[in-house]
Amino acid sequence: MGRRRADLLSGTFLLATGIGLGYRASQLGLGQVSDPGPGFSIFLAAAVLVVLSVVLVGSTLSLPKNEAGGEADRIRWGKIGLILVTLIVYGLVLRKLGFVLSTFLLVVIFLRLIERKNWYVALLSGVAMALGTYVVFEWLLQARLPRGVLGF
Amino acid sequence: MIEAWTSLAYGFGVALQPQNLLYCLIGAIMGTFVGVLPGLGPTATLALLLPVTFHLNPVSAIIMLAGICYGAAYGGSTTSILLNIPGEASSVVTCLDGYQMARKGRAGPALGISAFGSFIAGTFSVFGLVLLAPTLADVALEFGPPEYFGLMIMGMTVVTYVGSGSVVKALMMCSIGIILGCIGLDPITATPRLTMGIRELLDGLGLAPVVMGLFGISEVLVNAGMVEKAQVFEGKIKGLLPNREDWRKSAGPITRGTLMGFLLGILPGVGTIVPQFLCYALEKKLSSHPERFGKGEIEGVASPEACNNAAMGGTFIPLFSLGIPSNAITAVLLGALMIYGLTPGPLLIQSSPDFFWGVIASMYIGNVFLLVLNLPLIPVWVRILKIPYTYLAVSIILFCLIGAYTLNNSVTDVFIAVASSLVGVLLKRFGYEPTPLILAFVLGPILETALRRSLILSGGSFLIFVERPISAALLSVALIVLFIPFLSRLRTRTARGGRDG
Repeated sequence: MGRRRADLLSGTFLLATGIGLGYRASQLGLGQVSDPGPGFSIFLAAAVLVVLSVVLVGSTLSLPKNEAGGEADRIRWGKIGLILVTLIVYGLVLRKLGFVLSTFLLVVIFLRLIERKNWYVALLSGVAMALGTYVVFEWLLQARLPRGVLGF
Repeated sequence: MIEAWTSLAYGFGVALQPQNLLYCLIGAIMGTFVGVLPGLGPTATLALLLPVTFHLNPVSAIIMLAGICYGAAYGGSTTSILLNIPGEASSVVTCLDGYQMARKGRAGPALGISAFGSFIAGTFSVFGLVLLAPTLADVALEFGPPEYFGLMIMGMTVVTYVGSGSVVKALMMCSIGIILGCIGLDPITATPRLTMGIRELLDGLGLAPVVMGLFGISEVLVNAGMVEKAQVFEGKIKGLLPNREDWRKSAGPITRGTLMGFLLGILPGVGTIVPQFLCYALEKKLSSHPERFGKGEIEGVASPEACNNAAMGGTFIPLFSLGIPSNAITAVLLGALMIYGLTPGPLLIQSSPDFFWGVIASMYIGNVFLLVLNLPLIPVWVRILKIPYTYLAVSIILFCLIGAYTLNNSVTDVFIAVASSLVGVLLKRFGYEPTPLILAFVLGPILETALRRSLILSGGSFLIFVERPISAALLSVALIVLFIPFLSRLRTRTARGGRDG
């Protein structure tokens, strides 16, 4: 996807977002200018966003097709998506499985599935990091990490 | 004036207490470590260590956090020179000539001159801080809500102007940042806004999870998603110290870089990245052989490095005396100060002298620590860089997530961090910068309160911003800054038209 198409996409998306937020802000109540309501600032910021998005889309469209800059960086979305899903799952199970176990699983999944290290490395690192971070955060930094149903 | 020096002496008394020395050292080491690691910036580290500092008293906490800032400024140059990756955002300019020097086998002098240059600049900026912060504080007492509004707007426009992306996109990021800052309870009417029914969001998104996700985790994600991997420089580092010729060449750049960096850093909203570009450009203009820049000229390393540290010290002035952050790092520091119950501003110096002068004194001590640390540790840093990025990556993610959780023992913060990381990746992909966003996120609530209070004061009239001289001046600067790019483009277009016609 070239820069031009990327800009059109993001511009349109933010335009729509701005309109939506502006609407939501007006629902919150704009109040009077002498006594601004809760939605006042949001509405202003959203209005600015809408105007700027229009400018962005407009200026991108006005440039001839091959002048709009080079290729945007190539990104492997699959890998990123996989990592994000893992992180979300981590958040979901953190309370239930407890810190040590969740962290262990996170590291193992990350190293084995996502980075394709062998099982030995993944499991060993998992244990090391789970215990290491436990020591650092629970003991040294006195944080209160969640214990899961298994008690640790 | 004498008062300032006696206060500074008092500050040294505070800073030299064993525990504060220790925190300063820890902060300096961590900051250097973080600055060296590509993919984890000082902003994310600051946010990460915030929860740790809750257990400390505010003075020690800020001493440590300030140490991290300086440490990161020192450490960032290491990866810039060795790997051509800026270890932290503001070390970008050092890559230009620093890496080229390393390729020519002159990594040692490059690293050395950047360490010394940073020390000189850092020391200078500490004294600048001593002299100027109280003065600015007096001026700041003239500031009412309209002046703050003007100041916030100016800060935001200057940042967006000098970012590397397009102004339009940066301003869009500002608007989004303001809106994100509005999530939570309305400060004046206490109505829930944009919380989508989630109870934990009533307090707002929280600076730390957002920063950790937007800067920390997203950097890892982006690196993970890249097709090409970073290349380590395989070579011997010969001779850490710059020779006499290097010193002769660098003396001028270091001096100019320090002065310019400090003065520019003082301006709210400017930050540390912009001054470096300006310093580099200045050195190139002044040089008798500008074509050699970009190929390994030591001036191209000395000036930006000195500038970086001086500007960092400069940014603390508006932070402490006016409560205005100039970049993401100082924005996090501001958040930290507010969490500790210290409101930066003109009253801070009077009401908490041990805080203010203690922190300044510890910055000087920090500079000494960092110089002593950095020189012999360079071989160590290089070895850390040889750890396969995979393990670094998972550690960074882990620290960010745990850090987010431990803020409020809330999983919601973890999800906020993850969501922010996705936003960070998208921003990078579509060519937006996160810095204006985070800046607006922190400044937004202040801006909003200033705006609404001003309007209540004036009974609904926007004229109040123009009637009061200071706010009018600030808004004019903002407008001028916004329109300079358009004016220069107009001029080139007319010139081009004249030539063709």
